[in-house]
Amino acid sequence: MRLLLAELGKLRRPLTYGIAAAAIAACTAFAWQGARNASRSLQPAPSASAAPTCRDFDLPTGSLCNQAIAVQEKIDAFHQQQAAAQPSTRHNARPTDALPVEQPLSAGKLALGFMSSLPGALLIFLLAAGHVGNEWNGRTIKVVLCQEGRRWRVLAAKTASLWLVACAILLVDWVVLAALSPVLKAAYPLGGPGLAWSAAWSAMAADLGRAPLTVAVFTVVGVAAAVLVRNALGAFALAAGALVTSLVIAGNFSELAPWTIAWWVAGWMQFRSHGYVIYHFWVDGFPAGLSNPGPLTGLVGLLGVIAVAAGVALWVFRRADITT
Amino acid sequence: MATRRPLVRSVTAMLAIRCVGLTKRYHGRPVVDGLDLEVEQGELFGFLGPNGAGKTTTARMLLGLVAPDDGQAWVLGSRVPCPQQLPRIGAMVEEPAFYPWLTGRANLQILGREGGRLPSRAIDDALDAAGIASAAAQKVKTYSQGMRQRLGLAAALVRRPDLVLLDEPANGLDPAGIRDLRDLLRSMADQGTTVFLSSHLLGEVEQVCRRVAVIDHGRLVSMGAVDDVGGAGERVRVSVRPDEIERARAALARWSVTVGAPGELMVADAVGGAVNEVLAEADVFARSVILERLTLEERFLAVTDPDGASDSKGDRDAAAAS
Repeated sequence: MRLLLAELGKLRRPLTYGIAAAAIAACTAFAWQGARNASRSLQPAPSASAAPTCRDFDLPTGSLCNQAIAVQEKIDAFHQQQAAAQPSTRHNARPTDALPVEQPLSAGKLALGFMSSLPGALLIFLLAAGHVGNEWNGRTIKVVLCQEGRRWRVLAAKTASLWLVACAILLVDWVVLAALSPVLKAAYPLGGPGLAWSAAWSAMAADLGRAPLTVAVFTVVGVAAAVLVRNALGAFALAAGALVTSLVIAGNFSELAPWTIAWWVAGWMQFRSHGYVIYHFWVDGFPAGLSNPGPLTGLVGLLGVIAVAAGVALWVFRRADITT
Repeated sequence: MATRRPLVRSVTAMLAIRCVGLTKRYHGRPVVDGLDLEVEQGELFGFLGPNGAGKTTTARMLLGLVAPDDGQAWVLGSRVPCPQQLPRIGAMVEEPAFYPWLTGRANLQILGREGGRLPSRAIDDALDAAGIASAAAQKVKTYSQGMRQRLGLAAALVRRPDLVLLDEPANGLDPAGIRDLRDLLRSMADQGTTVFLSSHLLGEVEQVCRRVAVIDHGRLVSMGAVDDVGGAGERVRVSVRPDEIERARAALARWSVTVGAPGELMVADAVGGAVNEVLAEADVFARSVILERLTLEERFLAVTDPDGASDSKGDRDAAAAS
């Protein structure tokens, strides 16, 4: 406990406050934009379904305009096809998608999805790089290990403190979104009484139960990268690079996708396509032939990631000579 | 044979630091090479060596920061690495490192939490002892190098340790700070704290330490009382008339003689009376015959850089001859 308190004391730093501010600013912007767009979609669009004309393209009548119209018609047809095939996608968004951000309890869905997906992962990696990797940059690692020589305890305290702070950022983010939700509801009405408390709970309860594990995975990966690279910038680059690579592989290679962290996070968090509000940033769809992974697959995969990353970090850290 | 192991254990327990064949290699090159060292409890011990001699690596091995490739070390009776003994050890290895966004006091509080419960008023006492109490509320990023050094000393002392390992503690300190450090080290030793002082400031070490060890290229080249390191460390300075210098030199040929200032000869490992007698037999009348002790620096250079020392001697001879 004393080590954990010491690590939490170190995290009272500008980097932590900056990361929290960035998360809050981003989520606030997404909530505001989503509610605004959803509210506007309720207003009748004068020429929403009209066929494109040369005036829309600011082109004179002629072959060039005809080509532009033909291309636009193909795009519209594709969007209609997508909308029919997938409910609540960016091609077929429904105003009700934005209902959760206009209710204080379910507003947390946005904070949970944000911290459990790519932006949250990058912010946690940044925090881990500063908190763990920077111990080598600042040469303070020798001071830490001159006080507590049991290195596994140091690593455990660092990981636990990072996880707690990431969860705290998530909660603060939620509180800010909750405070913002009545303002959004008043500014951008979506019709009807809005979400009831029970419906709001249902909308975010699963995310609330799952997000802490996903945040823990990002934390352990960030710490492992910092221990392997032993400097802040390299740690962030390694962790972020590995995650982005995983997302690219999961989105493009059907043989490899089921063995990526992107696949397991998507399975565990049950990420689905977006509507008016972007509740998470993750791979948008897996290669043809792969059905979306289930929560159990995701859970097993993520526990495996934690075990491997923590094991590697501990093995390296216990054997590392501290020469800084 | 049956009683040998407990005997070794009891001897080790009486020593603050013991190294036997301690070795560390980086990329196959030995940085510390078979180091044997013994520091008694309550001793103020100087650890000397030129840059790159292996002083810091030795300190890191004693603290468990670096794993030895060969040999063994014990600290306060426990085989290294010994995490359970770290609360009894205060250390400052190379330049002190702190979290710049925190105040000096907050840094010490964090150290206190990391190493276990601190005695009451320990932080205030350490800040006072290191002379940094007035700046304890400032963030470390505003500190000068000397203030950081003082805070590093406070960090080493905050647990009221039984053993203090200090690596170049005088770096960045002003003359008053160096004097304060000297007083602090003496008072710690008076209270029974073992001080292991690694430094290249020979004058400081000579003033505060009773025993020293000198390492070079990772090997122990000399260890003993400050006055004994590098041999007896005495010479006779003879002053004669300039026109008699060559005659005097020829008469003293049985000793190692170097030319000092004009009209002066340095006779190594000699006795003043014998030198005077030999000169008298050669009809050279010395203006003065003075027995001198070599400084620690001269003896240090003699054991760590004998080529450089002989070069210097050659230079002086050449200068005298010309």
